[in-house]
Amino acid sequence: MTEISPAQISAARISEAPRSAEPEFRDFVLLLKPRVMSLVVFTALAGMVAAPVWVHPAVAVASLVCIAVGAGAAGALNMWWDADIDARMRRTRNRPVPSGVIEPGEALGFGLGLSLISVLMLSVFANPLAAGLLAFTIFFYAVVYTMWLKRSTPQNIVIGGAAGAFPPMIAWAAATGEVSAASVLMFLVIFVWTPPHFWALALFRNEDYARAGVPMMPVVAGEASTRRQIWLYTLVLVPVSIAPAFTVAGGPVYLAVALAANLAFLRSAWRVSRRGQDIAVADGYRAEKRMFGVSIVYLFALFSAFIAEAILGAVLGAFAGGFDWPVWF
Amino acid sequence: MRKDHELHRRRRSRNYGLLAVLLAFAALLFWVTVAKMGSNAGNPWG
Repeated sequence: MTEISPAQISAARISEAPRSAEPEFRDFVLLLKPRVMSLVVFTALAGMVAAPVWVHPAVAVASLVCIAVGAGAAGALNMWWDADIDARMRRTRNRPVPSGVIEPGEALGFGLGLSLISVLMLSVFANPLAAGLLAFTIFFYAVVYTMWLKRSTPQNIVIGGAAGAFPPMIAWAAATGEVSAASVLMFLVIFVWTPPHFWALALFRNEDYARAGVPMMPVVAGEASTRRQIWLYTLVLVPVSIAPAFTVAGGPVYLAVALAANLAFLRSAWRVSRRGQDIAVADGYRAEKRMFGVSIVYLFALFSAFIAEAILGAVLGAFAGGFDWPVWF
Repeated sequence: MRKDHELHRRRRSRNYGLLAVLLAFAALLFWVTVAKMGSNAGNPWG
């Protein structure tokens, strides 16, 4: 006889449960994962501003809206598929689908509809390349990460992190109509940053992931191995995040910010990598929580530096005829 | 005066939210259309 897994029981319970309340507008906004969306908008804005071409503000705003809505649509599809996992995790059990406010079918329809609209509108507003990249990103997040990798491998966040890394590349493509070394490096910065960022979170949310049966690195490989990998990924991140300084999107401001941010990130990752589980439990995972906070500030600082660099370049270009800066990539 | 049921309040929030989204979308389409038509858009002699 085929055994029924807890995930299947939970999914069945969610789909059969009567609606707990009529959904408000706010509930549909929550389905789009607004916090993730704000990060997507910010990194995409940096990609758009750093692109070495002038984009009409209307086209820029419209493209950013499409990228944000596309990311939100992927989030809605993720919430539809993962409702069983979300119901078992403290952090996510109040989301609209597991709490019964929005029915799974509604979340699916909402996600698919917005995916289609955002991709089509981006191809009209910007170009087919940007629209194709957005479509691939939604597919990658909803199908490759959510449906396949998340439940099957502890490398879920490593490969799945690509979905979160695409927005600046899509915005760059919307502005220039091409993919270049600078936009690939922007992608790589977020791609390599994602594992240490999420594993720092997973270390102090380990119980939640274990209860939900999600094979996050600390659940499968143990804390010691996770700490070692956090350190290794941080070492890879250093050159990857400094390299954009020597592209058309970089410059002295970006280089200075990248050096300072990497020092802070290396310091917090080193602390996390040198600790054992006993010490971490004793002080309530202080270093891990701190590293998680540092990682958010780190990404914010790097992408703010891209924006600052673009503004500085425009001002200097207009008043002082620009300045020489080595562009290697 | 009759007090609104919670259900009506929630539906009203959804309807007004959708109205705002549709108006914003129409405004965005109009803005992009003007931008793509070029600097002479809206000038009948241009």
